[in-house]
Amino acid sequence: MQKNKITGWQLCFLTLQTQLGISALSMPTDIAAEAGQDAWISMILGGLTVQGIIIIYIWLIMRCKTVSYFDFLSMVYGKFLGKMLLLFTILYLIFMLLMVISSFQQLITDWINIFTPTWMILLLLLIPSLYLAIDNITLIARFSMLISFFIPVLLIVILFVYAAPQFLYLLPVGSEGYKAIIKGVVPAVAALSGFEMILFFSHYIKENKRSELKKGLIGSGIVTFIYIYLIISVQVFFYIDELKIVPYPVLYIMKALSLMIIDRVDILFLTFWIIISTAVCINYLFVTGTGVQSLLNLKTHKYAVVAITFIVFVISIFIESKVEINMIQNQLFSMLLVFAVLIPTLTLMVSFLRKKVGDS
Amino acid sequence: MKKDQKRFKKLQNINQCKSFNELIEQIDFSSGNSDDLTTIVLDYLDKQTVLLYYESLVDTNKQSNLLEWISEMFWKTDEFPDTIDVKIQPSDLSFTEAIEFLLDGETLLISDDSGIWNITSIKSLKVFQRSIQEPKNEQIVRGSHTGFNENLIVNLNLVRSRLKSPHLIIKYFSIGSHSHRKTALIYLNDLADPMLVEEFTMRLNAVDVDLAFSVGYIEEFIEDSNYSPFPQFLNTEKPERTAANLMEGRIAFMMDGSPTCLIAPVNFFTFYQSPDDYNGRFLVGTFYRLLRIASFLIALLLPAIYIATISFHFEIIPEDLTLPAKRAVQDIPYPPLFEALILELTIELIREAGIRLPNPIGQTIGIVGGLVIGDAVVNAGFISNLMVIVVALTAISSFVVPSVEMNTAVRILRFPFMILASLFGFTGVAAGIIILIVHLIKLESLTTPYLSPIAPFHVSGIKDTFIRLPGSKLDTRSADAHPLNRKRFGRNRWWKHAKK
Repeated sequence: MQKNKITGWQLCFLTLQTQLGISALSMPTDIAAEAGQDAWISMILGGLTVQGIIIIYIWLIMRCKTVSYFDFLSMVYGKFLGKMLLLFTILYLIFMLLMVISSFQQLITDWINIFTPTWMILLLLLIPSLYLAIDNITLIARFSMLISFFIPVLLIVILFVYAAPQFLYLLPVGSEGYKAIIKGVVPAVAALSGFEMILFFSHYIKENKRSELKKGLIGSGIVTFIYIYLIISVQVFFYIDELKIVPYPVLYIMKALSLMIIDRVDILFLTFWIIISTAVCINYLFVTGTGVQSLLNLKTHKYAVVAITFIVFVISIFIESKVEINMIQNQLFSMLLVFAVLIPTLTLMVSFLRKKVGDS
Repeated sequence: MKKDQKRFKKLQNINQCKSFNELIEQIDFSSGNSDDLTTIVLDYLDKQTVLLYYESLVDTNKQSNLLEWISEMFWKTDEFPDTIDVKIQPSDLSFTEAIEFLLDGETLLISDDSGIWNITSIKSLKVFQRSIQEPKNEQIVRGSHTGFNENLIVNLNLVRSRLKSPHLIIKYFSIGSHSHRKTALIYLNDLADPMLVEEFTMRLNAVDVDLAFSVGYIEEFIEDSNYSPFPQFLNTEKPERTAANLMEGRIAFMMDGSPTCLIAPVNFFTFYQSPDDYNGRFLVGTFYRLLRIASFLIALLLPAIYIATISFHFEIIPEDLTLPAKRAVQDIPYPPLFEALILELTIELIREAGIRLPNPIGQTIGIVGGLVIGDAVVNAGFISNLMVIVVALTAISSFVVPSVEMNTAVRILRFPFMILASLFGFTGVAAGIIILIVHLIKLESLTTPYLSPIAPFHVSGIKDTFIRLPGSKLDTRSADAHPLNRKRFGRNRWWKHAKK
């Protein structure tokens, strides 16, 4: 067993976990705010867009087989510009971490731990993440795969919606007009954020073949299907006007559900969800750590991860109000556009022009 | 005295001694004048002879036979009879070596043959051993009831007679700087990964202790992680289980004086496999596997979930249960964590008290503890009866694990979970679960991943973890031990299809 290497399927689950953990619970509301009852169509389009972006990634990665994306930046743009871009990418990753951490903290504070101080919840999320993020990629990939066994729990619990579905809420299809649907693609892609992990994880793959990388497409595809399933389930449960004002519609469905032995499924489910969402923190912490390692030419990413965790912890203590978190979340799409779409595409084109290939 | 010591230290080998008296003095000095070192000097004409042995180590029957023979025959012939196991030693034997022979229970016969020392060692060790019994901590319903005892050779016999294969390799090691203890590494050289054998050998060679008094003690010197609560070696006292694990490509380690056999590399699920699973029907085996995994979760999480529910999330209790639950809890003066801690600690006390007491008293302790404390503590209003149910269920679940070490790991681990639950509710439990999972993922047993068939995921490994498929379907060995040949056997039950 090679250390510090992953298989194609592990890449698939790393991507899947990162994407799923970020916004699965709140995403239907955001999309419905733009696309109304055609939110699910926007999700399909969003999923296709992401698949397109991942194909661009695969082209890019095939040009830098053994070099990490961070190092490839310096190879393509030269030392100074490359390092600058790397620095900005790290800032972007820290931004993502902040967003993820504070959204989770907000969710937990809203839903289960109303009186627990913010910093305690942050520590509860960050310390377990740090414990794994300082270790190597193989273990992180194993964690992501193990955690994926919890995903069916989400799908099965949501199945209870179909005891009394209102499929009429979906009709007429396309009533919002194509403009609204296209507008809905923006939050849909934002909800799928996390696909950029393929860029950062790909050079760990044992055999850097196109077929292995394509398993990243499968991961993103599975997430798209899960999201479409969730959106449709939410839409046949809530009337659209209702949906637009419900913050975590997936959890609200569970709140309505009452089993014989457990009355509030949502609280128990959220316990599972915290475990799933930690995978996101772990993945981002690890990637940011390796980014800093590449920037400062460190031997390990260990201390970088510890430092980043501390920075994220300190900053997120000050992000308290919902308004601030919403502000951050609104920036997500434009950040994604720049760092996950524009820069990789530009890098691909420049590397074509300058005939740079990262293959040792 | 000091001057004497100096003179003695000069001599290294027996053949440096000039006179017979000097030899005896030297031996006495090297053994520290221990009273149980018996020296018998025999004189006959010019042949001076001394017989040396530890009377505390030798077999008295053998010894009297030997003396009888020596007094009658030794002066006449050089040939020893076949009944006596002798070995001629070189005449330049050092005193340290001589003492080692004596400590191994041999008798040294040193005779002066016209200026040259003739040294003969005679095997005369007396071994006291327990008969072969069923190990009390690993009782099974069906299957072989044979267990190891404290004699290494007997134990190796039990293993080899079950695995009659030329590929079964036994390597001896001597551990302990003060007292050498014979230990053995057992593996099948056509199955066990040579890298792992090398790793195990390296770790054993690195052990530097004064006295290796038990296998469990040595385990701490060779395991991967000292600070993990989880056992990284499987302990077993059953030859049948050892043989089955060797057939998986695993490596076994045994020591003279200890009936326990250490097996590595193992994974988490190995500890939940009982030999009974394979003797019964597969549905029953699968059911009990699932039950044991569930018991792991119950023993670990039930008190924590109860505490979190009572102190944070009362709303998850269904409507019909709310009133009974509230009635049970409302008059209790302590917070749920203290209730749980008091009761859990009581159970641990009862267990610890009962374990070393003779059986009849042990039962009394059980009754006093279980009935009197359990009942009285509820009547007194210290602890709610719901908590008694929870703790009792937890205690029973924790004893379901067929491995003692895993059982202790689970019992220790539920305390941090209880504390986390009382501080943060379900969020704390979730954080605890993550740390536990991450720890298990990081943990290694002889450099192989501990959570093997699950992380990293092997579909073929699942056949014998949560579930147990029928024996004929278990045709591949588990991947975590990297066996050289994954295929266990070929196609079975072909006659089932051939009839049609």
